[in-house]
Amino acid sequence: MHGYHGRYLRVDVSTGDAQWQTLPESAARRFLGGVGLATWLLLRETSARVEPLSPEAALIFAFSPLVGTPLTTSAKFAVAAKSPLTDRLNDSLSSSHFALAGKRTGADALVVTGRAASPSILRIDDGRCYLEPADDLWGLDIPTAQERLRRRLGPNVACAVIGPAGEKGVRFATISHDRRHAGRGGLGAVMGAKRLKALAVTGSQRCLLADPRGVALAAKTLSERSFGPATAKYRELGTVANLLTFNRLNALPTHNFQVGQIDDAQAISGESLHLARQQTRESCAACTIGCEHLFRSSRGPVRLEYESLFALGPLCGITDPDTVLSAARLCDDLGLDTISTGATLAFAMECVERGFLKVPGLRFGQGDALLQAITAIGTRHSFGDWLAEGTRRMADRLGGETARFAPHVKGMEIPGYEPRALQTMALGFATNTRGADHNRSSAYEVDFSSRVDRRQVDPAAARWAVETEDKAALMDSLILCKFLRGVFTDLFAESAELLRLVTGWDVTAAELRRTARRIITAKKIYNIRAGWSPAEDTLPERFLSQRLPDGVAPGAELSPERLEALKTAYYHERGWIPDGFVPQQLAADLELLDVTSP
Amino acid sequence: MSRTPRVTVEFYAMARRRAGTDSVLLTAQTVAEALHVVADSFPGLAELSRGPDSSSPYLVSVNAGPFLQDWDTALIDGDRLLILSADAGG
Repeated sequence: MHGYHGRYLRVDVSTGDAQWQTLPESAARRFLGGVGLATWLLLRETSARVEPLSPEAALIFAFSPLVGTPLTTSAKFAVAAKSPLTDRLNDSLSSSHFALAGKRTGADALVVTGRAASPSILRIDDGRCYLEPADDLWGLDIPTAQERLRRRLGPNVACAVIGPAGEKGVRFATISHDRRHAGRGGLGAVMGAKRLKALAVTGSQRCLLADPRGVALAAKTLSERSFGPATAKYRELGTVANLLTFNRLNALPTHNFQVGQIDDAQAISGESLHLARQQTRESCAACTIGCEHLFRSSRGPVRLEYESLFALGPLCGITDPDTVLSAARLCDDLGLDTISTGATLAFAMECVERGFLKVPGLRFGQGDALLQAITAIGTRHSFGDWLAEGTRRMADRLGGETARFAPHVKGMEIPGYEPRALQTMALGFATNTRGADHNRSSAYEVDFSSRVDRRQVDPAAARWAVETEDKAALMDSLILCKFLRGVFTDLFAESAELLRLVTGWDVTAAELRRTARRIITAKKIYNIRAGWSPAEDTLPERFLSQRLPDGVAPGAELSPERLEALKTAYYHERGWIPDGFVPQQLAADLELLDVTSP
Repeated sequence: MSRTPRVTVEFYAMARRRAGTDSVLLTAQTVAEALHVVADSFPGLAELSRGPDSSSPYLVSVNAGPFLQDWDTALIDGDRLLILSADAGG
């Protein structure tokens, strides 16, 4: 099989037992790699009813057929598990040298179960698998741990590492590599529950390509196209440039989603940060876009994206640049998802202001309190132990009306897109299997187009929302970076050609469209098996009962009836039955019968 | 005879970077006319003269309303024309 090793490694860190398993070509072709392959493995290898932080739960690292090729942005990997934050399937992507080294171990994926007797490093060296003690690393922040690992193991060993947040079981802890994070859904906590401080990989095994010259030529062409206008924003400004745009459209979540804009947004705009604080720009391995903008903060250099900026800034009422940058750096060091951290803090601030919670000083706009609270969450110290549970569990404990304004879907905190002002994205948040998420459903692309009126979206938009999800599923499984998506004129057809060159499969655009739908429906099947109910596909009551106030742009309303109509159209478009369940015939049509039996 | 509407064009993200300014005041009867003036004034935004185009890296809105496909939309005095990157998000 070209592009694949044709096997994956199952490791039980309780016993140290490791077994190679065959990856059938039929499974590889149906699920590709990355998120798709990880979903198939989760369905095959574990019960969906497993407790996410138990030894029985599987943590999966999945590579892909394009990793290791010269195709730009392909050095990415997926991590998947049942999320301790949502109790549903969660996958998260990260990039760079870990993906390359991981695939060179000779495995298409790693399935890790069990719990080590003491803090450990799981080493996979050219297919050999063993545990090393990590007592000396336990408790260290991520940069320190990575530096110690580099000195101990050498520069050719790539490490995915957790910080104190993962060790302490913070439900939105990340897994980090090269300053990048598999960020959402608490996969760092799953790794911490296995007492793994790091997964260290190296190897020399390469996959054969079906048409090496064709791949080289395609890579050259794709790299040239990647320098064009479709990626200029990421290269020149980065995603932080979104902030002023969203603020002007009254779509910038502010003060825990109470309003859609903030005064003095200019102070933390991407443009201002570039002028005053940009330090350098970097790239992932094998990437020609170079989207990684590093800024100066009083805690050291920090990579900043729009999502971290909105969540640790306006959502918490903060417009001091150094506070936001320092908060982002602190999250990176501790291994915390910045979106969930910011949203949890914003929710806590509103709870304090409304008298539901007592935490001295934790108020909107209070930067020092924000920074102290982040440390408390990352170490589960004092009130941080509460906040480390995420907004859904906090609201469950606080009671009263707090659930009405806890900003999550399925337990996943909402990213930086005001749902009432961007209503196709609202549909994406409500229905996505990962919970509120802008990377698996990029439905905001529909709102940012002339196809809809973003404040009054009608059910016709569901078709386009599905299209963005399908494209994301394909890119996350091949894997290619989504910042490349604007480069393609026909993503499915061009991806089919790339995949044909790598694997030799006679794959078509139509097949890949079906593959994307298969992957999304497979995720839904996992969630159903985990206990999903139709009531989960919704938004917090605030968004359905309160009008977004007018600001520099008009406000907006999203009625429960409108959301229901959108969801109905979405389920229909997916081929699911009206309440969102998957008909058996569809599972058969999508060749999912091997994963539908519990 | 009515005078030509005076409108403010606001630039965001890549449009601001290409224009080198936050905003500009101009007179124009329609969105298309305003965008032609912008394209003529700021070479980095010359592609705005091509008219609505699905491959354009820019989106256009009047007063933060729906993004426009029809650039023949009439303008009135005091309108604010927003030009922003079509790849908002990320």
